[in-house]
Amino acid sequence: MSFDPVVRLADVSRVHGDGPQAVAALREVSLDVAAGELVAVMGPSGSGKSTLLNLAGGLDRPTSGEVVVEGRPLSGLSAKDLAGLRRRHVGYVFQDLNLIPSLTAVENVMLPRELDGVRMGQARREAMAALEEVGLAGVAGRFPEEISGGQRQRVAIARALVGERRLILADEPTGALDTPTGDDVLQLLRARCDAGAAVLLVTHEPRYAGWADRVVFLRDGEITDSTLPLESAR
Amino acid sequence: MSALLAALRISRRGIGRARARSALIIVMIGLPVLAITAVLTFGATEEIRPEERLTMDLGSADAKLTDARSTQPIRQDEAGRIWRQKERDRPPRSRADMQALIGQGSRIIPMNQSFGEFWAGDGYAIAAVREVDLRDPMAGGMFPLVRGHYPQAADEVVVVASMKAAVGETLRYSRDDVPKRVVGKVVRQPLSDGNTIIGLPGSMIPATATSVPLSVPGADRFWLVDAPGPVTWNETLRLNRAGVAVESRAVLEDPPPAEMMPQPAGGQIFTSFRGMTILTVVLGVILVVIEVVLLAGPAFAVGLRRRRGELALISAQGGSARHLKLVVLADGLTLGLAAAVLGAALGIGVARGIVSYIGIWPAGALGPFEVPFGRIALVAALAVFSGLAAAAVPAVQAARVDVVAALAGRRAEPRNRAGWPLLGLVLLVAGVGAMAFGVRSSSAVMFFGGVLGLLGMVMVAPMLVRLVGGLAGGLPLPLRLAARDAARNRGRTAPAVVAVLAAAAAFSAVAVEVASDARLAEKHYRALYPIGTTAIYGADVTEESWRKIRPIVGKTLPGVPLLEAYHPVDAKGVTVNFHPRDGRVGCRSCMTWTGPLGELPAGGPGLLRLLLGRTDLAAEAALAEGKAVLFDPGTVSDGRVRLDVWSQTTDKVKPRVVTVPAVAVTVRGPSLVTGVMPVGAITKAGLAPRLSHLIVDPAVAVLTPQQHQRLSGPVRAVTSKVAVQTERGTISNRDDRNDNVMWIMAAFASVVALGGTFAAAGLAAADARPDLDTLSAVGARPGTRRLVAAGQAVFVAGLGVPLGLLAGLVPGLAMAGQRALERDAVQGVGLNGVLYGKVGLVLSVPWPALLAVGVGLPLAAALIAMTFAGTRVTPVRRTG
Repeated sequence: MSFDPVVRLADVSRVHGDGPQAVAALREVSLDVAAGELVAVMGPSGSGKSTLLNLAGGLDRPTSGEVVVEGRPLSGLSAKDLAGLRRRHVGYVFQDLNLIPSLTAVENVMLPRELDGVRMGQARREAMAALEEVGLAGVAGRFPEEISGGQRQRVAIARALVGERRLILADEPTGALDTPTGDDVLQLLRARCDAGAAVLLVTHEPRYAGWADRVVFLRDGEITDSTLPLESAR
Repeated sequence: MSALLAALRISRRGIGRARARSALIIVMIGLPVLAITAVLTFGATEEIRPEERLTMDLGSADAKLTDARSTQPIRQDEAGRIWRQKERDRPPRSRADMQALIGQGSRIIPMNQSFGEFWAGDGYAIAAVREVDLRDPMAGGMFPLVRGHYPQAADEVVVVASMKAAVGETLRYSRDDVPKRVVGKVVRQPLSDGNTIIGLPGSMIPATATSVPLSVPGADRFWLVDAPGPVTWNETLRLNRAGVAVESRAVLEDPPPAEMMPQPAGGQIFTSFRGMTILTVVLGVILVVIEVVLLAGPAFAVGLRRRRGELALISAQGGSARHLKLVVLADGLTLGLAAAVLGAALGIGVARGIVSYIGIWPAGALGPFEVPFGRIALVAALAVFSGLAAAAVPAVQAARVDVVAALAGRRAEPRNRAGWPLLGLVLLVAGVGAMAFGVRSSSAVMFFGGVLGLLGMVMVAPMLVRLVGGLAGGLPLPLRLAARDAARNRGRTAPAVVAVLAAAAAFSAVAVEVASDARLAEKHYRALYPIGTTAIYGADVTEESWRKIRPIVGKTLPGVPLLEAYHPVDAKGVTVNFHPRDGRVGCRSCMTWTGPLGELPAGGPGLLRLLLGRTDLAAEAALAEGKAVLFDPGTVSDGRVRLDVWSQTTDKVKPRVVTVPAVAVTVRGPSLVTGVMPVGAITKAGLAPRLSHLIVDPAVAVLTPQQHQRLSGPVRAVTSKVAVQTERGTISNRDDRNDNVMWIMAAFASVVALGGTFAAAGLAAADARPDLDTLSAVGARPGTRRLVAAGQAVFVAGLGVPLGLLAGLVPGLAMAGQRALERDAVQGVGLNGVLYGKVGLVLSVPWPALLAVGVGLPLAAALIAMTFAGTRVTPVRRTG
C-alpha cells in the first residue's frame, strides 16, 4: 500500500447560493485516499456525501480549499482540463443512470478512451480487457437493457478503470441492487482496490462499509468520525 | 476523430431509441428536399437541351446546315445558333452549290420551314409549315407517324396529331385555298406551335417567297446532311467561314472546349442581371433554410432535455464541453444526412412517376429523364447543413449541461435567457429599413431585409414567449399550465413560434401583394372603347359570319342603330396597318396601347363622334368629304397625313407610304385611336375595307349585364373569331391566377404553420407527460388533458399566426410599392400624343382574408390538438 494519496481534499468547503440563502454542503473537509485503499463515506441524506464525490472528481468546484488528484491541484484547471483529468484518472460509478442505453457494454467501457482520442480498435481492446477483469467479456456486445442490474454496475466499474485510471468514485453503487448482487459488486470493488485502485465509496449501508479500509462519517457537511471498520462487519 | 466516431455511434443508436422524434426531424428537413428535388428533376427533364433535340432537329442525319446568306464569315454556338452575322447580302445557295461546299462524299436533302395559313372552318388559322421528305431515312424519327403514311405527292401532307383534320380530309391551304390531302398524322414536337403541316419540298412554300414573316427567328432553308464521317467542330468552322451555320450531331454529343468558343458580346449586362437573380435566389434559400431549422429545432431541444442524464454521464466519464457538443451535433449530422438522402431519393422517385405519367417524347412532351445530380447534391448539402444548424443551439446548451443536477435526477432549471432581444430589435428595424429601401432598389435588397427580420425575430422570440407566458396568471388551469410550460421551455417554444410566424408572414406578404396588384391593374386599366360602348368585333370575321351576326343583334337590341368600323386588307384578305409617319413628338419612348380598333379605324361620322366624345360638325363634314380626321395635330401638315402602310406578312420593313387629305382636331386627354379615316381612303390606297366592328353607341343605349349576356352567347356561337365586349371601365374578366396564387399560398402557409404547431405541441405533450400524469393522479378529468394539449397548440399558433400576419404586411406593402413604382416608371401616352397621368402608390390589404386566417388557423390547431390528445395515464415509473 502506497502512502502517496491518489486523491487529497484539503479544508474543502462547498457553499450553495449566497447571502442569507447560503447553504454549506461541505465544511472544511480534509481527506486522503491512497492507492489500494477503499474509503467508505457514510452519513444521513443531505450530509454532503455526493457533494464530496462530485468535488473529488472535478465535477464540481469547492468554494474554498483544495482538491488534488494524482498530485495535480484542481483549482487551477479549466473545465476542459478537468474533463481531461476525468478521462485519464477518475472513474465514476453511480446508483443508476450509469450506462448509456444506446451503447453496448463494450462501447460504454471504451467511451472515455475514445473521447480521449484513442483509436477505436485500441479502445475496444482495452475495454475488452477491462470487461474481462470484471468477468463480463461474454456480454460485451449487449445493450444495457439486455443485462442484469448487477452486470450493469460491473460494466460501470470496468469503465471506471479502463486505461490508466486508478481512482473510482462510487455513489451508492449498490443502491438499486438486491443483497447478493450488491455483495458481488462490492467484492469486485474490493478486488480492484487490492489490485491497486483507490476507491471512494458513498453508501448508507453499514454492511458494505465493512469492506472498506476506512469509514468516514459525514454530518451536516463535516467529518464527525473516521474509523477502521469492524472486522465482523465484513 | 475517435471522439467523433463515438459521438456518431451514440447519435445513430439514439435515433433508433427516439423513433418518433427522429422521424419528425427527418420529415421537417426531408420534405422540402423531396419537393425541391422533384421540381428540379422534372424541370431538367422537361427542358429539352439541343443535344436532346437531335432526333427532332436532325432526324437520323449527321448535321443540319443553315445558309445564312452572308458573304462574310459567321459565328455560331455549338448548337448552330448564329450570334454574329452581317447583312444577308447574297442570294441563297442552290442545291448544287451546297453539295459542292459540303463535298461530294456527302448526301444532302432540303428541309424548309415557314408559316402558312389554312382554312379552319370559320376563318384562316396559322400553322407552322415544313417541307421535308419524311420518307428519306435522313428524316427518320423526326416526326414519328401516328397513323396513315408520309406524303408521296405534292398535294399530300401530314399534320400533327393535335390538329382536328382527319386522315383523308382535304385542307384548304393558304389564302389561295390550295387543296392538300391529309394522308397521315404525326407526333408533335415539344415546344413547337400547335398546328404543323408537313409536305414534300417545293409543295408548300412558294419558291419566290424569299423568307418567312419577320417574327420568325432563324433562317428558313436548311439542308440535312448524311456525311461519310462525323461533322466536326473544325468542319463547322470551315462552313461558318462560307456563311453557313451547322447543327452537328458529333459537335453536340461531344462539344468543343469552351475556350474554342468566344462568348457573345453583351455578356456583361447579362452577368449583372444574373448576379442579381442569383443573389435573390441565395437569399430565398437562406430564408427556407432558416425556416427548416426553426421547424426542426424544437425536436432537438426536447431531445437534449431527454438526454441530459446521458450527457451528464459522458461528462462524468471525462467528456469535455466540446465532446458533449459533438454528441448533439452528431445527431444533427446523422438526421440531416438521413433526411437529405431519403428526401432526394423520394424526390427523384416522385419526379420519375410524374414523367412516366406525362411521357417522354415521342410518347409525351418531355425530354429524356434527367436527374440534375449537381443541383440535388447542393440541396442535400443544404439539408445536412440545416440539420447541423438546428442542432447548434441545443449543442451549445449541451455543453453547459449542469452535470451535478442532471446526475442527481433533478430537473435542471431553465436558464433565464431571454434571447438577445436588443440585438433582435436592431435586426428587425434594419430588416424593415432594408425592405423600405428595396421598394426603390431591388428585390434582392427586400429579401435581405426578410433575412434580417427573420433573424431578428428569432432573437426576440424567447423574450416574447416569456412575456406572453407571464400574462397567463388569470387563465383557466389548462391554458395557464400550457402557457407556463411553453414559457418555461422557451428553447422548444420560441423556434416553433417563429417558424409559424414566418409561414404566416409569407402568406400575408403574398396576400397583400396579390390584392395590391389587382387594385393596381384596375387603376392602370386602359379602356378599349369609350365607357358604356358595346362592341362586336373581330379582324378576321368573314362577311358570311357578319351576315349571321347582324340579325342576332337586331333581335336582341331591336331598333338600336349600329356604328360600323372598317380596317384595310390586301388582296388576299390579310390585315394591313396604317401608321402616321409624323406626330407624337412629345414622347417617342413612351408606351402606347392599341385596342381592337387599331390605330386608325375607318368609318362614318357616328364613329367619329363616339371616339371624339363630342359633336364636331366641321370634323364630321371633313370626314364626309373624304378627309381623315386626326386627333394628333402633329400628324397633319399642309392638310395631309402621310401614312406608312405595312402588311403583317411583309418580309422587310420597307413600307409603302400613302398620303391622305386630313384635318386635325384636338382631343382632351389621351385617346384610344390616332383618328378616324373615311372608308374611301382605303380603296384609294388600293386596298379593300373589311368590317371589323359593330358598335352600340352609349349615347343611344348602354347594355345591362343581362342584355350583354343575351347578345354575347349567340353571337359568339357563330364563329370563334368574334368577340363581344361592353366597356365598363374595369377589368371585365379578372385574372383568376392571382387568386389561385393566394389560395395556394394560404394552403402552403397553413400546412407549414399547422405542422410547426403540432410538432411543438406534440413535443410539449410528450415532455409534460409526467406533469399530466401527476395532474391525472390528483383527479383531473381526461378532458383537462385534452384542454392542456389544445392550450399548447393555441399558444404556438395563437402567438405565431397573428404576429406573422402583421409582420408580413411589411414585405407585402414593400413589394406592392415596388410594383406600383415600376408600373409608373413606364410612361403611357395616348395615340394623340397626350400623356397618361401617373397612378402613384396603390396599396391594398385584404383584411377579411387575413382575419380569417389569423383566427381560423389557431382555432383549427386547437381543435385538432384536442381531438388527437392522448388521455391514457402512464403510472409514474419509480427507480430505487
